Amino acid sequence: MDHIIETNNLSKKYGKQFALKDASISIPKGSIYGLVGRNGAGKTTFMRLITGIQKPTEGDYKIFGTDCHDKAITRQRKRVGALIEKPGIFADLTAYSNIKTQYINLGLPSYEGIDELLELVGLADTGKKLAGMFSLGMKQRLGIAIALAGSPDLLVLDEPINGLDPEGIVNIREMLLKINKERGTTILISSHILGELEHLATDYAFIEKGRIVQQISAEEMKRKCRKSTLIKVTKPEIFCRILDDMEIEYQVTGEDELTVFGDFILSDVVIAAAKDGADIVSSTVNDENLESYFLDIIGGCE
Amino acid sequence: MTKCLKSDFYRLFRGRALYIYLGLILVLSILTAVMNVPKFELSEAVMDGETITVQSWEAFSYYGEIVYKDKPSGEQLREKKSVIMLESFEKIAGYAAIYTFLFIIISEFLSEKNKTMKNKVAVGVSRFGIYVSKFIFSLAVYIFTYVIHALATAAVIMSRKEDILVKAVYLQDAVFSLAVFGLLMVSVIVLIIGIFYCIGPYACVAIALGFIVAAVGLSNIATTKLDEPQYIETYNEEGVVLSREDNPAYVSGIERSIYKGIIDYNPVTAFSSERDERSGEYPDDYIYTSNVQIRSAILWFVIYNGISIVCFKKMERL
Repeated sequence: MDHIIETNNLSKKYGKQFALKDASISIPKGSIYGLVGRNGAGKTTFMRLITGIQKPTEGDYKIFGTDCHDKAITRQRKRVGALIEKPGIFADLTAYSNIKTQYINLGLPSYEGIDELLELVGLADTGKKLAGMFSLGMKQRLGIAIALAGSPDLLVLDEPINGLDPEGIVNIREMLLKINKERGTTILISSHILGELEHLATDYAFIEKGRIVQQISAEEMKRKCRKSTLIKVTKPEIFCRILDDMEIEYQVTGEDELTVFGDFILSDVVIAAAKDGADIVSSTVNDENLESYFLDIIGGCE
Repeated sequence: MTKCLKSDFYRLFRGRALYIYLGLILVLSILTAVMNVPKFELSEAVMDGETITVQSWEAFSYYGEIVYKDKPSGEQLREKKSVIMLESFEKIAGYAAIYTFLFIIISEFLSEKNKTMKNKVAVGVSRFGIYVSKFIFSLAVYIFTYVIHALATAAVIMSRKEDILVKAVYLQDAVFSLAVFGLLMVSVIVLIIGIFYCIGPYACVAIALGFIVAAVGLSNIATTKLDEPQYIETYNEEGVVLSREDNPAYVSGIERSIYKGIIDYNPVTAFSSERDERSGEYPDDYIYTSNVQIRSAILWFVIYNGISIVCFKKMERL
């Protein structure tokens, strides 16, 4: 089983409005899958469907290879931890008791590991303080700890770093990378902080107006977002020779167009080319990141 | 489902709601005991040849009148005297039970529906299992509050100074009322579960308010019915009965008991009517004097609902 989650034309309709339409994605095992989209794009709906909180209007999905209509899905869900929207915590219980409640829900035989979880999310020193008195960030951490109860194989996190301070964001990021690496936990995560997602995700799905508009691996994304300069030239063959001599990476992308990757001194190239009677007509620098890539895609959709 | 139940009870014992309830009962017991201290310090006054016994409670400040017939001589006597009511501790404990029970259950459902239920569903617990376990949990909580209520009732009855017949009347009344209370609570549980399963928390709150309105309406009907005298009498200037005939509007028997039950267990109006009981040979014959305790009714209504609202606010903070 290479994919932990596979969805097939998954749709959810509220009244006449589709919150999610024909979403078909596959989440590779061991990946950190980033779900990127604007508010109301359908990210949370997708996560709610996957975790069984809501039922799809159309389409189906598989978790750990088990179809959502199969009764065995109940058993597979025990391998899932989720933090969807606001953390589901009891205000009148302590952090420890909240996690213990989830241990009971999971039917775990012992309550070992609760202290470790509290340590992991930075709530070890909350003692008898009730969760209702926690700050937004602390509640978020507790929500993550509850999702991590029972060491799930799949973690579904909807905006997990909402309300966290900068230190908290770094802690959670490191924690997620750690459990992904050490336990092999697959993580489906959505976040508005795209710069943060860029540090984590191995794969992305872009979602807009309820539709998955693109799925892309982080590798491919890096390649696409890599700094490059598009130059239009008069004699491309001369430029190719010069760039080869200077050991600069490039790609011929048109009849009189070259895309040059990485940093280079343009004036050196221009002088060398002028000696051989070649000229640069125009040059455009492309320096994208996840944020600009996302905006490009969304702009394209519009 | 077992896991859900275990989790619910873990939360109940770990959380504050149960202890708020127990604390409330304790505080109210102490309060009632303190308020009942001057209960036996009665004052008497003679008015138009009748002895009026005025009973002053610091908090409740009420007196009532009792009308009874002296059966052996066949002569009808009217006498105003103090009304020693069953409510006090027992009823307050009862209302505390109702409100706290509703608070525990509704808050439980609100938190389940909106927040924590996600944690269960996401790890494969079925919604049906969650609601069935919640029903069992609600029943268990209800039985607990019921037992507390029953014990309070028994304690009050057994400590009273009246003779055994009066005690028996009180006991019969208490058992009947508890049964009505029980049925009401079970139906509320079933409704809440059904409503939360199908509609949502707002509808549930609307239904709960509907219950209160219905209870008020029913108790008004009951009060009106019970105010009807058994006979329609006319008197001359000296107060001698000239004629007497049966009042067709007078209710008796089971019907009367039902109306009594409605009044007894309506949290809003329970204090707004006083029931005098005729001791002696006609223990089933009750006469109601009405609406002396509206002030107390409003007071308690505000107190309990205020507590509920504050608690709900707390729950919503998440």
